[in-house]
Amino acid sequence: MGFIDTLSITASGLTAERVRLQAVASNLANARTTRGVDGGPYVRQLPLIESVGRDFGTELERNLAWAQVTEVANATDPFELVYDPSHPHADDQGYVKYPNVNILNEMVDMMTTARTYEANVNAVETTKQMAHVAISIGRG
Amino acid sequence: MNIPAISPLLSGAPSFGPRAPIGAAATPGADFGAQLAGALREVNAAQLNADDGLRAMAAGEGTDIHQTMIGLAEADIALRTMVSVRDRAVEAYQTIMNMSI
Amino acid sequence: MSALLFDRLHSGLGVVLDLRASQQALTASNLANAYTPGFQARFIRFDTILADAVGATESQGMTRTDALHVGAPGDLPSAPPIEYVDPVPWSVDGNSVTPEREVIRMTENSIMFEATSTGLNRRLALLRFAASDGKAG
Repeated sequence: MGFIDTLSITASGLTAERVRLQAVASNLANARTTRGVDGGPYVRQLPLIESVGRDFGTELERNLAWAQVTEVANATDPFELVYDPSHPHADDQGYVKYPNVNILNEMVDMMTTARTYEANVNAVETTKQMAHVAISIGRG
Repeated sequence: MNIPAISPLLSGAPSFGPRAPIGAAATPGADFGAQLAGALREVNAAQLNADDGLRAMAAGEGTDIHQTMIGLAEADIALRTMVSVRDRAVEAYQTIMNMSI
Repeated sequence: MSALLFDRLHSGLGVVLDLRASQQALTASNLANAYTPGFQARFIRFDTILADAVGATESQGMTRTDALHVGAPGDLPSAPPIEYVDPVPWSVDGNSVTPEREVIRMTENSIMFEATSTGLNRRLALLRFAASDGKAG
């Protein structure tokens, strides 16, 4: 089995993690944005990730799994309502809607995603090493 | 004909019985043959040992990588040594055969 | 591959390298899908399949007594056994990938890949030397 598939699998993982990190960064930056692009509060961005693979070939080939970001969705959990009639964005009842972003969750996501990103980079290095070793078989 | 350089090699490990008389070196051809045969056995043993080590390591049994690599190096050296001995023997034979008597 | 020139150990080493390369692909899959909901981490169980490949198991029958003897030709190895990791009971999305475990498995696997490959190389060099009748090159 060549290493080309392995490298492309890791590449898909790096892409997925980069999208996650971007979503986290955006969520953190806009955690208190009460008026977003469409007039309402900022909505938490949630990347939806699926695994895709082959459904033909050997059992091993069918177990290879690439990561694919199908979309970056708007999270549907409810906004945080804060009673603050003096706020310029308060509604008729005096409530301000704040984004459905939980800063602690975002921080945890950021750390775990960064670590996993590193592990994927590690995987690229290891695969490269193995490929070099394989190329050198029979040499000298 | 007593070849001083070879005699110490031929006396071998100390034994409790009578030592082989120095006169045993008088037929250098036979003793050299024995030496070569011994070297061949060592080479064979070294290669089998190296193969065993490599087989065990590849099967994931114990991670004694350094032992396996040492075993492979020893087999390599044993083979090269034997070839070297053989080459010298052939050289010596040819030298002798080319002597005009 | 000529069974006369290259014995069971030689082809077995090739199979071992193949299996370890495949394991690397599975580790890559696990790490890529560390955040895919419902994804189960997978790996190759190496317990017996490596030993079978190189003929290190007792069931081989013939033992070689001389390095010049050709080993018994092996059967084609069957497909490697792939196992899945169950998610922990408190998992929210059913994903069972632990990056730490994957990295450790990957490290061990790549070390053994390189060790096996180097061993194969040294053995090949020895055979090559013997085949060229002791003449260098």
